[in-house]
Amino acid sequence: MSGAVEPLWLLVILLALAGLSILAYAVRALDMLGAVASFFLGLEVALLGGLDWLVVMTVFPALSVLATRVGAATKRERRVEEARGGERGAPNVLANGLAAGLAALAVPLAPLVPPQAALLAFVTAVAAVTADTLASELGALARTAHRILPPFEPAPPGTNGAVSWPGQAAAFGGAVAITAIAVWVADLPAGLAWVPILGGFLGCQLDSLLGATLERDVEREGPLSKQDVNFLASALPAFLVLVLASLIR
Amino acid sequence: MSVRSRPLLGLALALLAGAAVLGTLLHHDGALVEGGTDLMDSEAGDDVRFKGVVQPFLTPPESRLTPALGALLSDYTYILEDAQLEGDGLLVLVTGDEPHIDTDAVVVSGTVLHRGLHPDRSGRVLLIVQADDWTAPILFR
Repeated sequence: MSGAVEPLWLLVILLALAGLSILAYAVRALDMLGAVASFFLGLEVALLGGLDWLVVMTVFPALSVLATRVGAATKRERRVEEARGGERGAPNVLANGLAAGLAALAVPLAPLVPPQAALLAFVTAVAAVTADTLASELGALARTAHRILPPFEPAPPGTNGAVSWPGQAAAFGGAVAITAIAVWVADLPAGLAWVPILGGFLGCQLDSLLGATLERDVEREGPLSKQDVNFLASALPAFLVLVLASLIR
Repeated sequence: MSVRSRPLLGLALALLAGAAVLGTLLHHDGALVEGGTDLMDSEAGDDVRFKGVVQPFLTPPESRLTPALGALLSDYTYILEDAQLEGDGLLVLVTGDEPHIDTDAVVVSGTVLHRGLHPDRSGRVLLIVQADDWTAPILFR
């Protein structure tokens, strides 16, 4: 039988993670600390969930970088561009990846937590941050937006807590894309695909809701930062999915 | 796209290419099978993938297989040499329509056809695997 599998497998993971992190730093998608944080977060996910989980997680930054650079001139004009030309740091990496990393921690808890429940929670977390990022980046290019809370007043696209039809379509598309990749590479049962799609899309709505009520920005005080909101909007649906999928076997 | 450093970009692409090539080779070698295939726990109908050294298997009369078991064997049958499996009382026969010429290590992908006590009353468990694919490892033979 084959032996010495794990050190060789680890070598492939380390090479891939180092390559991805350096690539993200080289193309200014992440700063130095962000690249280091993404390396260790990816290592944790790959060791606990496997290479297929890492592939699913990698689709998020790839889509984010693309979405950030779509219509960059318009976003700059409207002053809704991500700071530093779209370059993200360690707080962004943790805000968007920590919930997925925590979901991966449920893998060793089997059989208390079924492996499928951990996978569903993980995909939901990644789907939620992808949905939110695509909605923010592509929704900022919309002509009009409305506040998510009554009386649904018009608001400039890119405003915290404002939503638009293109943004909602992008959110749904992001959740579907992540789930489709998970079905393809991580053996997520196709019959359960609706769970992360719905969880991811609702996570994006939760992000908008928290953005409209509790998030502080230049115009308003609030208890939550943008990173806090990103984390909560991905962690809460993922945690809910983890609990429900563990109870309903 | 704004590039911070072309040498770093080159390094990143080289690392990713290295990971892809190594991953492909290891998968080919049967070393990178996530979770591994546990022949000890496999049942009839399970898909299996494992690596080992096989030797030609001679059927009558040494095999003492019943006609029903003999009927499961295809044109070419080999016995998997594995001290650990033998110590655990498991005898694995690999059978296929195509011969495996190389007697060195081989990676086998196939389906378990039968699992049950060996009819020779030795108490060993007999596992018969239908080989769908024979692959010679490249890096780790």
